[in-house]
Amino acid sequence: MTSARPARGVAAAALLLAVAAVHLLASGQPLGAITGLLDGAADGQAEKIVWELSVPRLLTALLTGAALGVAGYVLQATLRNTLAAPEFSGVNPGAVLGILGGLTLGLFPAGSAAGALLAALAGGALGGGLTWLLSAGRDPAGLVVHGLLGSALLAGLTTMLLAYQPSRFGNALRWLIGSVEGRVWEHLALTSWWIAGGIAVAWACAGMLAVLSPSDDHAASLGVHPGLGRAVALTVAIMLTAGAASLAGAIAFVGLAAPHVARRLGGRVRTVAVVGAIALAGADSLAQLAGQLLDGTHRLGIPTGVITALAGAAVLIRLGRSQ
Amino acid sequence: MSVKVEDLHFSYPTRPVLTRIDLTVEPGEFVALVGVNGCGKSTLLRLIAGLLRPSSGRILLGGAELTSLSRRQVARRLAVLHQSLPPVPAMTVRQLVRQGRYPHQGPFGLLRESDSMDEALELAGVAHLADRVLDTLSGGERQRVRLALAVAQNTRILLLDEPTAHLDIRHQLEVLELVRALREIRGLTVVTVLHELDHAARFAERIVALHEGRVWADGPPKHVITPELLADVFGVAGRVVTDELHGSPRCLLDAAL
Repeated sequence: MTSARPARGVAAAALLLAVAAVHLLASGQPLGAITGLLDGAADGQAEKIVWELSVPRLLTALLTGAALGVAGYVLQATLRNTLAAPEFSGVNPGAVLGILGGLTLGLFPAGSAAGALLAALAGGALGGGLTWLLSAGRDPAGLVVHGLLGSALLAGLTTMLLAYQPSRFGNALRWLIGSVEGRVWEHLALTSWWIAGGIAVAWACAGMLAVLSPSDDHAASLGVHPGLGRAVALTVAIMLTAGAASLAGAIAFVGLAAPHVARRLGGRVRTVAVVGAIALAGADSLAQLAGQLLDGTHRLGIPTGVITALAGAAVLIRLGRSQ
Repeated sequence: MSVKVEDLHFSYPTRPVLTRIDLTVEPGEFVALVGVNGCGKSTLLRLIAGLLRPSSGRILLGGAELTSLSRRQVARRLAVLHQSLPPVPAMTVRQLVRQGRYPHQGPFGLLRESDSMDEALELAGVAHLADRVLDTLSGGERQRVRLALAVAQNTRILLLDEPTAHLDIRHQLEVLELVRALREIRGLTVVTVLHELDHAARFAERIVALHEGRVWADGPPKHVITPELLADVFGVAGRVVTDELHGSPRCLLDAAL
């Protein structure tokens, strides 16, 4: 067990590097422009494009994937339901509603990372709170059913918002489907710290999450106040989901599927962060490749959210059958 | 570590459950709580574990009042084997038993003392199951794993709520023998709710019979297990004989009253 730990760390690092390399190559930029960056300076137009567009896109995918994976893991452990996920608990739909609502009301400019983050946070807390209210006093496992109801309600509100101002629909699409494209260093500066902080808190709480996962009695007998522990965990999940949504909108299924994979690997918070990051960067590599095949069809190319929705569904059907 | 219960009352909004309970369990004692379903024995156990708050009265663990201790401090003094442990997908034996170290750890799982975890697996005889997923274990194996968790918690008091429920007779004996052995090795104070009177008489040094929320009898098995107990507390006509081999009383049940 102890000897396996460094080996797992090396394997995780190798996989992350490999998926990063694939992601950059899939961007369609010339190889020379990518390797040229290794000298630490972006010389020339081609290298600048890679540095200003491809690298931020890669980091956005990695960060968003890690955030969603950890958020899903935290939700599944504390709500004791393996179908709990940011997109099914009202948190992610709430965050998307927050961003679109904020943009529609003109509360913050479209390019503002802090504005999007705050709006996502407010919306995510609202969505999570709505789920909480709907299921008040019930078993935490039942929260998922009410989470689905709350998510549907929030998605309905988002649709109403767009129907009210159909001219904005095109801009809203990237948030609705989920896309890591078009993010630049400016967007990442604040949000990367935010997500890293959230993951660090979740990591610090990993033991508590594990203790909470069987039952309240079990947790209380091991020294955890169940209500307080759940409140801390859900706050972290909302923080991370809001961070992810402010970067990439409604990316589905990473938060649902990554925790399953991590648990199979016998891992906890760090494992699920790596699994989520690899999953989303991998999905976005496919999205980039598919976008090049269908060149010129749409400004957005193929949004990553489409790939994660398809791949995640396939993974879950497999998991469901093998269990 | 001793457990002291003083003038304890507990009621749910609709009905009183326990009235005027006084009970002192000395360090290292093995006490069984018996009584019919709903007599309040599991409630008493949960009160001692700090999972319920008494309506009035005091509970002391090793002289310290329960209400003055944090949950974490309580978890370092007593371990509880609850009636059931809901399944967690893909959780292994090692992962569960490691949780016993939680009350002793800092954040990030710092101060991890894996030695005491291996020792706990060894003592409970489940070291060979360490990497198995909990869902794949038999009922008897699962109880032994949960005892390993309690051992890993490294407390001086062990509370058990019907540890033999839903087990085959062989595994019932195995679990109680393990509890007795752990108590001797670790010098544990054991308080257990038991359904089976013969098990209580055989394994506990002292039996506390609860009836209608009060202590009906309290003493060594020979004094508590009587035809009167069977009739007045359990509503059964029966005889009590002495088991020649173990010297403990045994119940022969004749008819429901």
